[in-house]
Amino acid sequence: MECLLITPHFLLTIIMDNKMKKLILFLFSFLIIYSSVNAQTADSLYNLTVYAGGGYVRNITSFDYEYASLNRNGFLANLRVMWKPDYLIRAGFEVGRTDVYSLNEKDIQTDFGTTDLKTDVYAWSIMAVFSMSPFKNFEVNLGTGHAFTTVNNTSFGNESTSTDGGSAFMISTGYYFPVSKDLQLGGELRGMKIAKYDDYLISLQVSLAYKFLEW
Amino acid sequence: MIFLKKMLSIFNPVNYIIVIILLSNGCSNDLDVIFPEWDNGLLNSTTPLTNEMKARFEGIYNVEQGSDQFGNSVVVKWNGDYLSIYTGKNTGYFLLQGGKLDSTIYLQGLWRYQNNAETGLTQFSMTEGADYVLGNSGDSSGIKLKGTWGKNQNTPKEPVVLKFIRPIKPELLTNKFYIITHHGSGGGPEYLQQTENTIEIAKIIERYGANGFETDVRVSKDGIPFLYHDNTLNPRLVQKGSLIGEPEKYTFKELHTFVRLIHGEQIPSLEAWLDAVVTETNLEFIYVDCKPTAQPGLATIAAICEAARQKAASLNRDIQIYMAITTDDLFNAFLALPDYQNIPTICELSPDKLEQINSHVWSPRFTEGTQNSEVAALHSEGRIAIVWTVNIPSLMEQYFQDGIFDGMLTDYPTLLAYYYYGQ
Repeated sequence: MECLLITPHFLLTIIMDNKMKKLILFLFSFLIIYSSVNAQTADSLYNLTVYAGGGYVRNITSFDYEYASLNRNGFLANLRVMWKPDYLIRAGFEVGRTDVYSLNEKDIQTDFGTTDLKTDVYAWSIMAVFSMSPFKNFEVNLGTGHAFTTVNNTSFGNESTSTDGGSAFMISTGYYFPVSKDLQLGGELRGMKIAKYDDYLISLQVSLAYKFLEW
Repeated sequence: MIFLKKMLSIFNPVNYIIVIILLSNGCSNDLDVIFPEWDNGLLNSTTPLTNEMKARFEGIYNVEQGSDQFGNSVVVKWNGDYLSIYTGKNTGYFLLQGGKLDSTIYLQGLWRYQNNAETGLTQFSMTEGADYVLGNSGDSSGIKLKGTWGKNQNTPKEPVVLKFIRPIKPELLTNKFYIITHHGSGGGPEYLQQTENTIEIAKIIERYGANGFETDVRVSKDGIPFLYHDNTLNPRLVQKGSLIGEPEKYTFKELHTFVRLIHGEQIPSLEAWLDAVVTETNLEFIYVDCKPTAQPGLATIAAICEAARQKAASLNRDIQIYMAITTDDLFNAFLALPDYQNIPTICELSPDKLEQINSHVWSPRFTEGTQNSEVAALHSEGRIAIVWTVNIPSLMEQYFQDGIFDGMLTDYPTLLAYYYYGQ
């Protein structure tokens, strides 16, 4: 279980190495099956819980060339719906928006004269999420899906926008304490990889979890 | 009951589907390719070989030592200042520079397998047969290249000995056969020292056996034709920087200024690239592949190609420059251009459409076979045929044995050169 206490920052660093990435995923997968086999045996209800969160995100990618004005910090927000059966493993999906990075540079000397540069990059993601709660109030989530990254670039007196999609991967840990019978408030530390453009993001967010349906 | 529940859980296919999804997600295929370099300055003390000297030791050589690494026979051919040795085995090659010191010829450089990361330093000396090569006496039968090869930047210690068998058949050197690099990629942008579709790769691609270049043209948001292959600015071709997504969404100034290709080059305009090809290379055939999104810029591309042809003519450069019509949509758009039948084109569509736009070159896909009757019919009309994109060694051999094509596109020009000059 200790392996799940590794921070997403560290995870994102080591998952750049394929062998380590496979090892982490293997351990996580093993835990999923192990948890299923050792599922709770007492009868319990199924429920649907929605998580809404937002917070700070930082891009930890290594850039091949880095502008002085590169801003790696930003905000993210996400909405996740999880189906919680009486096994430890849960499944659901998540949509989110995150800043990726931005630039704001003045008086760049180019082959075409001097220009200012303003670039904003953000991504919308949609993921299938698998989750478990190995300890009380503590959750581990793993998500895989798609991210659509958009660039707004202004330079040479022109504004250009381009959007492209590709696979995305997320891992997070969260601690949620109950506020009422159906409502929990928590904090979540997460890492996300937007694979197509090799963007690695870590974030710290506050989330509300609301159990809106049970049967 | 508890046991039954556990068994159902462990055999629950959903668990295994999840595991498969997790394990299959996102493992990259990074390949770290190095290009080792000599730093001992040996060649500084030699004097350059003349073109006559170089021509005397071009030919087919038997590999007397080192055949496990480089195969049983190799092709030795000069391309400008570089001696290329095409090994065939593992799409291998040597790139060497050399000179003479007294009565010995020295060569230094690297060897590589084109389609993986194996590479290393290598060096040769020629004493046996050097008299003949230097024009003093003897004949070619005694030529022997003795050398060593190593791994990566290590000092080469493994022996390799090449024994001259015969010269390259003269007709293979005088006939026009086009070995056309597929956007100068070498099978992947990491396999060569420069990025595909750049001025920089065009300047060195002849060392790899190519005498033609297929390049990919798109049109920027402000109507400037530029060179780029993929549909998006992505890490396969572009360093991590500020812009991503479809390149056509940006102006050429943005692309040229804010995008760095993976070896650090800038995206060139078609105009600048053709100018460099005409003035700074000896390439003989340019295949301007108009990507489907280039449709609005066909007239501009045609004008730029024509300007390059005129510049080449003024310099007495032996070079053919053709726009390639690759899709029905492009074909229909091309029909709208004024005087389209007099624009030099390559047609990748049917022979009927080739006739309709009066293309000089037909370029079918390699999966269609040799198509000798169709190619012979084109030859009788003064046209030529070039097949794309041939990367499989057995197919290269087969097309040389059974086909009558006038050229081939390939990601591995060193391999195609091995089979062509080795005939």
